[in-house]
Amino acid sequence: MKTIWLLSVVVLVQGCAFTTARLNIAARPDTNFKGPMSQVAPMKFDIKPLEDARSDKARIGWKRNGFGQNTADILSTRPVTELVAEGIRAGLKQNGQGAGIPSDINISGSVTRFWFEVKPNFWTIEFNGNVECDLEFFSNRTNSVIYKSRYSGTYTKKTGGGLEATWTEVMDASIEKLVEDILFDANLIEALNKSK
Amino acid sequence: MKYTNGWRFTALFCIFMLKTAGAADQPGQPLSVTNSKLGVLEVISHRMRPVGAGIVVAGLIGAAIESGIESSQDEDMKKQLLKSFPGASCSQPLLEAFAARLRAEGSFAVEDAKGKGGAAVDIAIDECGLHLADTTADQFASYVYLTLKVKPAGAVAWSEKIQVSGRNRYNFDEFVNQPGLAQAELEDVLKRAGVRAADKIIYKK
Repeated sequence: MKTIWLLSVVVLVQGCAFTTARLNIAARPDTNFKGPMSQVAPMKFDIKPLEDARSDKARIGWKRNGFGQNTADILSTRPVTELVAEGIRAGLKQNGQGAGIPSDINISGSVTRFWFEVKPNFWTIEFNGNVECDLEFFSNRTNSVIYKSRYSGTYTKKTGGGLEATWTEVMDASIEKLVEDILFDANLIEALNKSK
Repeated sequence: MKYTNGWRFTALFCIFMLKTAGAADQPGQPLSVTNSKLGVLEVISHRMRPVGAGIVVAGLIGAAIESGIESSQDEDMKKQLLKSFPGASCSQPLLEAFAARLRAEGSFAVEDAKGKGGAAVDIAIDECGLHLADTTADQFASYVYLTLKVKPAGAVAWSEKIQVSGRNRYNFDEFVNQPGLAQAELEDVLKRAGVRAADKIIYKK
């Protein structure tokens, strides 16, 4: 009986531990990114293809069995660099900023982390998502880099358990937190205002 | 300020009265501010690492035991950090930055929590401190988790979780041994979170 209960908990936490999980991650379209970026005079941004600079490019997390061993990959159905770029684009659009060429500002950089982790606690399971990127903002008017920074989006959810829908939700929210970190960056906004 | 679990019992509705210079002259709508959780300083290191030996030995029960041991190790690191930064506060820099941003923007007149008839906001700071941001390089960054609860005047209440991480990474020893580093990194993330919370209210659709 005890074994069945333990197995049930493991399945509830990790799904089937031996099959690869593919998460349909995306910044949710109804997320409100509106912030001080909307006060910047409208500009056109061109997001160059971001580099995938993660230390582990093969997966975004590990499934583990009841003994803590890595048993299967957790993957994203879409390249993580695209997900981040798409989130930034959506956030800029919500703030009245344009996209396309010729652009006022080119955004380039790399995704340095895109990771999902499960931590079992005594009473709860903690799901952690973390997305990080380094971005550089290049002004085509001044022909110079006007700003660069590291950005981070973290989302933590503690529940009694959760399957792939919960994992996806955690990673969706992590991208949103990353985009928010970019769009609410007062130093970036100051640099953009100066570049006009 | 001592970092005990005091808030769990006593500070569930600690009223933070923001005395803002010139607030009476502000044209904006009144906004009362409370700070129901002051925040607990944490160091999250072992808790961030993947589950390990404990779970191998004894499955999920082992994981739970290991989780307890990891929390204890993190507690020791917290004590080390507090020795180098005894005056750490999760709330003060955040609330000051929050009020300053609202004051500068001018849409709201921040008043004490007894004000009635206007909008109300509660900032519950769950925790702040240092977390293991790069497990490969074993480097830490400052962070803060808070919940913003807003009751606009005559509109539907809303809430949002705000999680902000520091931009820089350092080894834990650097935070402990380099004077002023922990304070500067923590204050930076708290101020950014305070400004973020204010902007969330200002720019809410």
